[in-house]
This record gives sequence, structure tokens and C-alpha cells, in this order.
Amino acid sequence: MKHTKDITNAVILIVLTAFAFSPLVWLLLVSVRPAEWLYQFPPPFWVPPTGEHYLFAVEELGILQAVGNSLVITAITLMVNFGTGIPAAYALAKGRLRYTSVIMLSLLATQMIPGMAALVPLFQITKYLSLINTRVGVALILAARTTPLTIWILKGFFERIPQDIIEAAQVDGLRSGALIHKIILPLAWPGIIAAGLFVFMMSWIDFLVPLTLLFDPAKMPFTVALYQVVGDPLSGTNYGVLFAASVIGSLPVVVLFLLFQRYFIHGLTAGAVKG
Amino acid sequence: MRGLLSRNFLFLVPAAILLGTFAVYPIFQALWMSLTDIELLTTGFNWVGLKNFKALLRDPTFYTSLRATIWFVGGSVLLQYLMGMIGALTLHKARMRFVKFFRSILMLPYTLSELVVGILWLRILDSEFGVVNALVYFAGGAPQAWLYDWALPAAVLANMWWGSVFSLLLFEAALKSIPEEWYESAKVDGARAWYQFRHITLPALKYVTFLDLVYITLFTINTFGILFVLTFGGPGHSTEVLGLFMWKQAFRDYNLGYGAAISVVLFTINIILTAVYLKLFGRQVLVEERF
Repeated sequence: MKHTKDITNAVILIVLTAFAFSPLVWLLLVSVRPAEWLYQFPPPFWVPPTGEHYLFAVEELGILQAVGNSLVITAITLMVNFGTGIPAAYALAKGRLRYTSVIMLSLLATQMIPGMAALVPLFQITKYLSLINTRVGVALILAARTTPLTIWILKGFFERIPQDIIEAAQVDGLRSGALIHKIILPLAWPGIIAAGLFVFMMSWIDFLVPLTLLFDPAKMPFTVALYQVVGDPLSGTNYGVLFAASVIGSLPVVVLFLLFQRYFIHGLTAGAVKG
Repeated sequence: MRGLLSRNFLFLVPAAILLGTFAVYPIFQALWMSLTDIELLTTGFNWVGLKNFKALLRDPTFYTSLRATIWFVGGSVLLQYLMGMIGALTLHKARMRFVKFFRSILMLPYTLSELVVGILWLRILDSEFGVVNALVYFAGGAPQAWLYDWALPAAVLANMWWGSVFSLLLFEAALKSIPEEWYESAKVDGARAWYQFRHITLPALKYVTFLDLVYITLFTINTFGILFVLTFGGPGHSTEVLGLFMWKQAFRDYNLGYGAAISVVLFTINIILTAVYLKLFGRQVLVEERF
């Protein structure tokens, strides 16, 4: 009985993974094959792989510099997001505030306007604040877009921390700052990792905000660099280069995910917290 | 401690400043623009009252677009929820090697930008050189014009492939934080797996399910990057969701005021749908200590 359940589980997992992975296998294949391969039907099974698209992405497209810009933008986004979101989530979960439900709903309301519709006003604000054409300006907007999600996720995790642990720490004379640092944050770690992953991925792949607010090619994140290869009116889209560049662009997220996965899957530290 | 000036409210100040500047202000700006005839790239404008909204209600494309939005969003949200939940449950329960490997593969689609996702599926589903048609051909079937005859299901498929990752990671993080003790009493009673799921897991996930549904609904309604590349609204206007309709009006045809009116309609739809979810899940998702 137990055994069949494990097998069903494994089968479902393998099917889902195959569904997620097969388009990516194809993306990888296109990125290492000559451009003509895409226009043969039926496609030949074996062609010797080529690194030309990767070379082009690095040398002509400047994808490495663009990935560096993405890292700068996303790092600032994450810092601003956590800096504003973590205290707010804590206060909303444990602060016994009035209007908590109004605030939680207002946070969702800020997510309800289409990003596209906000571009023109955002352009004006960043210009007014002299943040136009800066990576900080882009990061602040992305942080504002993702902070409501951080607050919602972390509020759920903070609420799970039992009141008696907090009260015991307060009786022991821990001040708010130390309390948050020593008790709350360690216990909410999986939630923080989860929220951080979402914020990182969402900011990493955003395209419209930097496209609108940055003019200097040297500051462009990799998503905008990719856009240069798309629909080139003279040569058409070079899919090999596009896919090679997006593989390079995905690598930092993959590395980060591999590094943080074990914290993510730990769950709330068993024993320390009881439901 | 419960007053508006209580010390705990200070914790909200940084977030309030950030969101006030970069998230709330644009909403009011869009409301304001929807009442004008402002155009992109020109400076002057006139107040036109509700003229944009009246024109929208008379625009047949608006209704086609609304229908496309309902199918696209309904299909995407349902499938993303199911994929995410099934994926999270199997990952969480899996007692096999390489679980980390499977999780890492499953999150990969979300590392691609919508633009690349659109182009990837555009190539895969291409009627002449697409790999799907190549497979159909090798299997002895007749190649199809997927992005023409099956445009909406194709768009939902591409969107689900990408968007399910959000639900998957959110649900798995939440599953990991359900205390093991909650299940122990059920095990003693010899409760079946379905009973455990129905009476322990699902209620424990109530908060996160609400959050997930609201977010994937808002995301799907408000973005259209994949459709932009995959079908550009076609054939005809059959996959022109409201977001794409808005983009075409505001940024292709420069009717910023009209585009703003469409975004106000989208905003209203989002509010209504969130209210519906809130009604379904109950107000305790907002305040009660539950996860």
C-alpha cells in the first residue's frame, strides 16, 4: 500500500518534470546548433554542436555585462524589499495593529493596476526624483512591485511563531531590535528564503521597467539585452543567440536556487515551534 | 498600543513611503488620465469626463477582449493552481533520491522572461518548422496550425508552463511549515490520506491558497508578455486579452487616455475578483493567525 503510493508519487513527479523540462531541452538544442537547423523539416536528428551563439552573446551582445547589471539591480531590489517588507510584515503579524485587514487589502490593491499602465507615471516620478536612467530607480520600482508579496508571505510565517516564545524573550529583557534579530528572523528563515526567491526571480526577469527607464546601454539588464536580438528587421530574430543568451541569463538564478534550496525545504525548525 | 500613533505603526513607515511613491501614485495617475484625451508623445490634453469609458462600452473589440480574458485567465488560474498544488504535494511527500534535482528542474521555466517564453513556444508550436508538428509528423499524424486553430489553448499552455512555478514554490514552502503534530492525531485515528488532505492540509493552506489565487489571477490579468509574442491577439481579436488591448491602444495607437480607461476597468475587475475570493475564503485570511 505504502509502496504503491510512493510509486504513484514518483510517476507524477517524473511526468511533471518532463513537461517542465522538454521545452527547455529544445531551447538548449537550438542554442548549440547552427541557425539553419531550425528551418529544416523534418529536422535532422544529429548535427554537431556549435558554441558560436554563446560566443556571439558574450562578445557582440555584451551579455556578461548585462547580467552584471541585472545582479546589481536585483541586489538593490532585494535589500529595499526586505528592508521595508520584513518590519511591516512583523508589525502586521504581531503588532496587534488596528486596521490590519484594511492594510492587507490595500497592499493587494497596489498590485491591481497593470504594470504597463503604470509606466508613464513611473517615468515621470523617477524623472522628478532624478532617478531616471539609474539602476537604483529601476530597483526601487521593482522593490515597490514585490514588497506587498513579501509582506503577505512573511506575515503568514511570522504568525506561526508562538506568542509565548516572544513573550519569554521579552521577559528576559530582549529589546525589539534584538528580539527580531535573535528570535524572529531565525524562526522565519524558510519564509524569508521563499519570499526572497520570488522577489529575486520576478525582478530578474522583468523587462518593461528597465526598458522604459534606462537609456544608457551600459546599464541595461540582460532581459533588455536579449530584446536587441529579437525581431531585428534586417536579419530576423537570431534564435540561437537569443536562446544562448537567455541560458546565460538563467544561470545566476539556478545557482542561487541550488544554494538556497536546502534552507527552503527545511520548513520551520522542528521542535522550536509548535503549531 | 492600539492607536494609529502606536510604536508598532512605525514599522510600516518605510514600506508606506516606498509603496506610496512607486505603487499608489501611478494608480491615481491612471485614474486621472482615464478622464482625459491625453496622447502619448504630445503634451496638451482636455478633460473629457467619462467619454473614454462610454466609448469603451460601445467598442465591440472590448467585448471580444473581455471574452478572451475570461477564458485565458480562467484556464490559466485553474491549471496553474492544480499544477502547483500537485507538484508541491508530490515534491513534499516524495521519498526518493534526487528530489532536489526534480525541484530544480521544475522551477527552471520561471527563470526565463516572458518574452523568451513566448518566443520559445512560438518556435515549438510553429506550423512549418515547429518541433510539435515534427513529432506529430513522425507519429504519422497531420501537422496543425497550432497558433491559429488552437490559439487560446496554446496560449494557456505556454502561460501555465511558465506560471505554475509560482504556485508550486509557494505551496511547497507552506506545506513544509505545517507542524508534523497536526497530522499525528489523524494518523492515530487511522485517517485515510484523502481525509488528512481534506481536513488538515487544505485548511492549513487556506491563507496561502488565498494569496496564491489572488496573485496568479492578478498576474494573469495584468500581464500579456507571452500572448504579445505568441499570437499578438490573433487570429482576429480572439486572443487579445484586455491587457494587450490596452497596450495596443495606449502604446501603438498613442491613445493614452483610452488606454488608461481600459486599465481602470482592469483595476476594477481585479478588485471584484479579489472581493469574490475574500468572500469564498472568509475574512479571517486577513487577520486571524492562520497559515
